[in-house]
Amino acid sequence: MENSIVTRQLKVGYDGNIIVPGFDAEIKKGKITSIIGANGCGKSTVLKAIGRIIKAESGVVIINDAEMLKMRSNEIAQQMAILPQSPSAPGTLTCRELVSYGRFPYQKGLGKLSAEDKQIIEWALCVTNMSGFCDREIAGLSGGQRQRVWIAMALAQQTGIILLDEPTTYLDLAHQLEVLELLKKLNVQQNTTIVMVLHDLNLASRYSDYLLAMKDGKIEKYGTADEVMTAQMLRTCFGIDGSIATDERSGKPVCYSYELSKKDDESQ
Amino acid sequence: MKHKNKISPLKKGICINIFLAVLLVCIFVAGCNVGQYKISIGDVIKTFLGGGDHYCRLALFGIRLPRLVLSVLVGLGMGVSGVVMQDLMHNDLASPGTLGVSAGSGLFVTIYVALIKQSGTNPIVMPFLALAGGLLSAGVIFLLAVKKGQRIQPTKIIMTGVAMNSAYGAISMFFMFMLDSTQLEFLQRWQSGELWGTDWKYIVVFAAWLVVFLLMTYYKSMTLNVINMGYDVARGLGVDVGKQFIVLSVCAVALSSSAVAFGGNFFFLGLIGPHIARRLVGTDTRVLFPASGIIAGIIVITADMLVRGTPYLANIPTGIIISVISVPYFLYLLIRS
Repeated sequence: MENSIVTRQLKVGYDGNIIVPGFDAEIKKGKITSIIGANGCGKSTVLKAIGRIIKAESGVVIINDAEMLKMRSNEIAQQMAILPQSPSAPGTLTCRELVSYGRFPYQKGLGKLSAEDKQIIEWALCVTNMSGFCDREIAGLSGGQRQRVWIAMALAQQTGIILLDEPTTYLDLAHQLEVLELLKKLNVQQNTTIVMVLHDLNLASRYSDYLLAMKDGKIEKYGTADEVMTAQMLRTCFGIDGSIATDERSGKPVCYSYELSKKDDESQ
Repeated sequence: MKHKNKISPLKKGICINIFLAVLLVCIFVAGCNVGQYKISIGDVIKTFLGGGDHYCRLALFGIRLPRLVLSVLVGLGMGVSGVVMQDLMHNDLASPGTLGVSAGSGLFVTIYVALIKQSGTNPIVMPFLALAGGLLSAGVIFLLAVKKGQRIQPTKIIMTGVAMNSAYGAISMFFMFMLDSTQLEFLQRWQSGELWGTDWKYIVVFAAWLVVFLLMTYYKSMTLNVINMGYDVARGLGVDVGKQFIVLSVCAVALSSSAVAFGGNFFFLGLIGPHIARRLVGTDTRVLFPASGIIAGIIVITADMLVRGTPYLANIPTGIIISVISVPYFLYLLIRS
């Protein structure tokens, strides 16, 4: 099994408005894949459809070689976790309580936590460096801590696949790196397949094994950062003229200077 | 800073629930001795244990006990129903009263009682009629506020409910003008929240109905906890939000409808019970459900004791007292938030 997720002719939209007409992609197992693209290109929509937060109009999603539509919902939740963009929960929940809900797909009845559940919850808190905050209410956490505790919840789900919708939104530079380092660590240590939507191209390039660039609901380019981060892609997907260089820290391509495409200006 | 052996919120919640239950029992016993015919606490306990004179037994088992039991049942129904609705809508202003569900139940019951009062009402029919009315109004709200294939928008549901609530008010008005004076008085008293189903035959049906739906609701408490974290998070954790939303709504309507059928319209109970309970035990419905139900029960008994114990209030429906007490508390909550 080489792919964690395969989509075939996935058609998605909101209220009859088709945003993604037909999405065919294979997401490699044990790799970090970032979906990039301009606002409104359908990147979040695709992620939500794969994570069954929105229902696709038609098409197929295959998770670990099984067709998602034929699986029970909690069965899917045992294989794939999804973290929506800026999730909200009652502020009075403690971090440990929040993380414990990650065990929900495995529970029956009134949700009594087994010894194994408790062990996994403590592990998830520990990996995300949140052990010291476990009895704190989430309302009192900083943005970075809050994102980490949500990631801990996804970890408690013990899935091979984690989907994240813009996990670095509203975070400062250091906390953005912290979250992405954490994801990288999980990817390396647990072989977790990570698929995320990222706005920041340079961070996407630096932390991802593969980039998937979208334009108008279609895949423009899908490959390694070197293949995807090109001046050509910046022009077609984002409408900018950019200069690409190699980042000396990561050896990955970065876009260091850019302006709106001249061609676009003329056409306006 | 780090507390190693801090008790978990769940355990704390269970302790608070035990305390609330004890408080309920105390107020219940106190409620037995209040009324026009004074019975001392000693006599109350003696009568419960099989002693006591004829008048004590009559006052206690014939009049006070059914009223007290009914108070507790109404509290449980409204208190738990309010929690379900608030969590489903992610809004603390949702309740059977504000969404017009109680008004829908009430309308059906009123029409039935008005039509059939002379020949005597059938207790078995009441909750079913109330449920039909409640489900109908919930269904209408759903049809108007939720479009097929679209996502559930709580604010839209709440606004529609508020609008429907006034519509039911208007329809009730319409019926009121068609009634004779005895029926009219009954209707007015019912709308203000009078504990009227104080006959054991009603109470048995009410209790059985409540037990079924309370158990169903309690069984869903983890699902509701997860839905309370947002629909998207809940879906990611494997909850079929659309289906569970309907199942839990039916439970909430069934609970509040029966309370409306036998206890009358206690508008604020479904708001205030959950509010106070949430401040005491937090959001985990496994402890919030019982806490909210018990607190609502305590409120009804206390208000009813005021009515029965104060001579010049004797003719006032219990619900009015609750509304009068609730409104300032409610405004205080609104201002604070």
